[in-house]
Order: sequence, then structure tokens, then C-alpha cells
Amino acid sequence: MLCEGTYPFYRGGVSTWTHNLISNLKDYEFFILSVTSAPFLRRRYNLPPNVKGILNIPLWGTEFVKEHIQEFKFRDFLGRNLSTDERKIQEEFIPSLRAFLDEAKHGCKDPRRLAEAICEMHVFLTRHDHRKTVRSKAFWNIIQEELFDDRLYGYARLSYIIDFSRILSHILQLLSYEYPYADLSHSSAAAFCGLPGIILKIDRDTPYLITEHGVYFRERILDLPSKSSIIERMLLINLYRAIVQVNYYYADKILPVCKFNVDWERELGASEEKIEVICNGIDVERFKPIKIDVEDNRKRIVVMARIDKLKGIMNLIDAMANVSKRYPEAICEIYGPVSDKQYLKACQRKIKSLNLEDKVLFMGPTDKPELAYNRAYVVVQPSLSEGFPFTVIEAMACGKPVVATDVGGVSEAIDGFGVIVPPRSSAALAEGIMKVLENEEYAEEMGRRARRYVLKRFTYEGFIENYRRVYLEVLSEKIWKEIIEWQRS
Amino acid sequence: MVVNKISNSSWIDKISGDKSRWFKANKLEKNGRLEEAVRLYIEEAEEKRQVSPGISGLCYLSAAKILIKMKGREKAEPIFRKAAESYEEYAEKALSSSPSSAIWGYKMASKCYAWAGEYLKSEEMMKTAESLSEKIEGGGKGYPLFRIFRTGGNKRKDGKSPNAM
Repeated sequence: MLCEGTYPFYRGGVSTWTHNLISNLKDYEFFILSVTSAPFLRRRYNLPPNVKGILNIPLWGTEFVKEHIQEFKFRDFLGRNLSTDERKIQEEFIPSLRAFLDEAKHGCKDPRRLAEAICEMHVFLTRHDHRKTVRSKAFWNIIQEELFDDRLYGYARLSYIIDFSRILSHILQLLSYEYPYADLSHSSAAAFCGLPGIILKIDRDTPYLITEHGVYFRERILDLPSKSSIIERMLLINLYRAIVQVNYYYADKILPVCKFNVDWERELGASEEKIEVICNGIDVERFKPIKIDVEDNRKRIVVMARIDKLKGIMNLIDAMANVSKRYPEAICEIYGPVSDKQYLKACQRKIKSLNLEDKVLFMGPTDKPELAYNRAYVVVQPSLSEGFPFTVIEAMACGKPVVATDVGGVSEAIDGFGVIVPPRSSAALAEGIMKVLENEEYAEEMGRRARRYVLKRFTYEGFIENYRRVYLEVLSEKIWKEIIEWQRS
Repeated sequence: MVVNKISNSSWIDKISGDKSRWFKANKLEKNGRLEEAVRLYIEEAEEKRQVSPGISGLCYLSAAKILIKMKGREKAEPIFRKAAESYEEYAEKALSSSPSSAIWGYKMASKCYAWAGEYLKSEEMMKTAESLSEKIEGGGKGYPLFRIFRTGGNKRKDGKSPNAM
């Protein structure tokens, strides 16, 4: 299982999905390869017994590749270091780096050329020293030739290109690890974490699957640094496009969590016959209506989201300013970890400026989301981007009315059993919330119907069985191919 | 594509080196010890038959593949039959939770029965898969869990694409 910034070190929707999938597919054994931002992270989940190992690949926080893992041997490091010199780098690494950069800056003209470059760089970096390579003259010469001297990207700021090179050197760390033997690889995003899957597919013919939650390319565009110029943005956009396209090209199956993703995937070159939508499922025994005594009788608006720009918390705060004018007793509780501290500070400033300190509360992460949902009068999902959000179907399973923004697969999930509002509009969000607050009967009926709907459509069993079958399908397909080839020969 | 082969002997092999029979059978197969690999695949298939018929089918299929290479199709037929039975059991088990998985299971069973020389049974499995498929595709309102995304080729009766809600 290939993860990026998620399982088992961070909480969130994708991590929940991964944990549920692995815990329930007991007849399969998993090895987790997790691309993270730091070497020593605390696991946020108790690993199920069918997880046979984890390899944390931190892109930041280590000076030498693999220094944080137990199996790190100084002898190996020394061997790699001594075998790396300018001549070797120039002859064995630079041609593939040049091809990689050429494909990356053009947004992937030829996925096979890009994948070949990735594989060649992987082969080089597993045998040579990463640090020495990215500090070599040859490395920086190629950056000069391919970026500074490029007719278009030459207009980017010097500092930006240096930042880009830094990102590149971190990506190359991911390619410096050996990857474990597996019958199939499954990436939880069409992202950098999928690169090992592509390498294993090419090197060992290991079937490769991608599940796409939020569309990675779309989310990266939404997250682009706002201060960069169009040309600078283009460079990053093309890099992301290239990574996504090469992922799609080598995937045996692309499994979006909602139909919304399909259009993006098609647009980005995914072959349609590879695509199959598999919606998330939830444990309807855990997420059910539970009677909870709350401290007061205030109307609670519960939000379950990590504190991040993409989750639209600012919008929610603005909406709460409107809501509290008509419903002064309304209170909003936001449950979730902080993934962007700057954003949290900005939210807190906004809350203060709007005098909402006792009306919008950050409750931190919770291990019992079912209890948090059941405290709610209404559950709100204000995101700017989503795949197929667990929070929506979990809240619906708890019999709560949901007000959510129309992003990703949200409207597919709600399908008429909740209130949908346009994203980025605090006025519309406030209106949606007030529509539910003003009519208790309407809210209760909506909640009841929502639970019935979830029971029919988003059960664990269906979700798990679909993945079990997809795994069997790609493995069986590989065997069939060998049988047919053998028979022909 | 010409890519230098990636080294296999590294520390990572130690951590991924599992003790499971399937893993061992795979390794034996790669090392050319085919008779032993077949034995292990069949043992694994028999052990998994009750709990996990899908995996059992996969193991039988792997064994049948090697038998074809070693001794020809005739010798592999009984194993193909067992694979077919396992896939059929898988389909029946999956039917209540995921009809699309059941369809796939029946189709696999059909293929395996055909390779086992049991053509009537193969046809029966294919018919079951097709009738189930029709029920799902023609089921009116879309049901994402049970639907396979297809291109606009096979339109619904109402003229909408098969995935349209």
C-alpha cells in the first residue's frame, strides 16, 4: 500500500479509508510504504495484524537517505558514497534526469520516456549516494540548462528555480529506496507515492492500482503558491501533470471514489476502460443515532475536518457570523487535527474580529467521531475540494441532517438527502445552515431518510468486497495472460 | 522499454520476505522449482477454500498455469475445474454485498470450466453472469457501488449513459 502524507502517521479521510480497507481485507497481507515529511513520526493508528511492515520515506528531516531506519548500515552508506563521483553522475544519472526534467516541464509528452527516466534514476540512486548526487556540479548544470536557460522557464525568479530544485532533490530521495516484493501495489493517490508502483510494474510486472480520493492534480492546483508568476505556476502544474499522467498510464486500474473524479481522470489521459468507481463504505453499527446528553440546549453545528485551507474553515466562520445574528444560541464545534498552523492562526484572528469566540470552537481531533456527530443538530462540510467524504456519509449514518458544499463526490454521496450549497460562498452556506435550523421537523426527517439511504448504499461489506475482487481480478488477469501466451507459443 | 534490472538482494528483501505458502510458492516458481511450487499452490488453495474462495481460485489457477507448462493442458484440467469451483463459490459469497464482484467471479468460473473441458458448465456460468449484469445495468437509478464505469458505447434504454443518475 503506497501512501503520501496519510496512513498511518496522519489522521484524515484517506487514512481512515486505508485503515478500514487493510483491517477488513484480512485475507491479504500488506506492506505499507508511506511517504511523509519527517523521519520520526508517531503512528496514529493501531496497525492490524495483516500489516507485515512499514517503510516510512521522509522527504524532509534526514541528511542521508535511510539514516532513520534500523537496517541502515554505515558500511552500505560508505560503499554508495565511495562509488559516487562526478564522472559516474554525469554518465549514468544525468541523461535520465535530463529526460525527467524535459518531460516534467512539458507536462509529460511521453509517459514511457518519463517512466524509463524514473526507473533509471531509481537504479542509480539505490546504488549511489543521493546527497552527493544532488550536490554535484553535473546536477546543477542540468538545472541551469533545462530551467534557467529554458526559453519559457528562464523568466521564472532565481529563488523559485532554486526552490523547485530543492523539491526535485526531495523527490529523488523517494527514488533512493529499495521497494519490497509484492504481488500488487496499490497507491492511495495518483501522486509521487505512486512512483514505486510504476517502478515495480516496469521492473517486476507487479500489477498497479490507484485509488483516487480528491483528484491529486486538482488539489495541487488549488494549493499553488499565490505569490508565484504564471510561468512559475506552469512549471509546478506541469510537474504535477506529468506525475499524474505517468501514474495513470501504468495503472492497471484506476479506482476513483466518486464519479466526479472520472472527468478529471479522462481529461488527464486516463484510459476509460481502466476506470471503475468504488465508493467508500462505513461501519453503520458504529455510526448510528446515539442519545447523548449535551451540556446545554444550544443548537450545535458540528464540522469534522482537519484545519486546512482546502477545508474552507474561513468560509464557515463567515457563515457563522450570519447564522449567529438570527440564531444567537447556535454554536459551531470543529473537530479535527491542525495540518496548517498558519491557517489556524488566520481562522482564530477572524473569529476574534467577528466576536465569535464563544460560538466557533476548535475541539481538536477526536477518536470518537460518532459521539461528536451525535452532539450535532446539523453537520456541516464546508470544503473547497473533496473526494468522497467520509464525514458526510458518517453524519448521515448517524441520522443527522447535512449541509455540504458541492465539491467532488459530495452531491453523489448526499443524493438529495441533505442540503447542497455552492463552495466558497459563506452567504449560501449560512442560508443552508439556517434552512435546517429553522425547521426541526424538516431536520429530523432529513436525518432519518439520510440514515436509511446510507444503509442501502454505503455499507462496509460492499466497499470491502469490491476491493477484494479488484485485487483478485488483477492478479488473476496476470496469470491468464501467462496461460494464453504459453498456449500460443 | 530497456531498463536496468533492479537489484533483488537487499535489506528490503529481508523485511518483505514472508513465511506464507503463497510467497514461497511464488519464489519456487521463479527459481524454476515448478513441481514444488504446484504442490504449495494446491496446499494453499485447499486451506483457503472455505475461508477465502477467491484466493483459493487464484492459487488453483497459478498451479494450473504451471501444470500446463510442465505437462500440457490435459493434466491441468482437474486443477482448472477446482479453480472454477472456487471462483463460483466466491461469486455466490459476494453476491449479497457486491453484485459486480459476483459477476466477475462467475465469469472467471466460466473461463476455468472451459479450460477444464466442461463447456456446459462454462456456458451456465456465463449466462448467470450476463443475467446478473443485465439486472444491474437495467436497474434504473444508478448505484455507484455496484456499477462499473463504461464508455458511452452501451447506452441505457432511456438514451442516457449507463452511469447517469
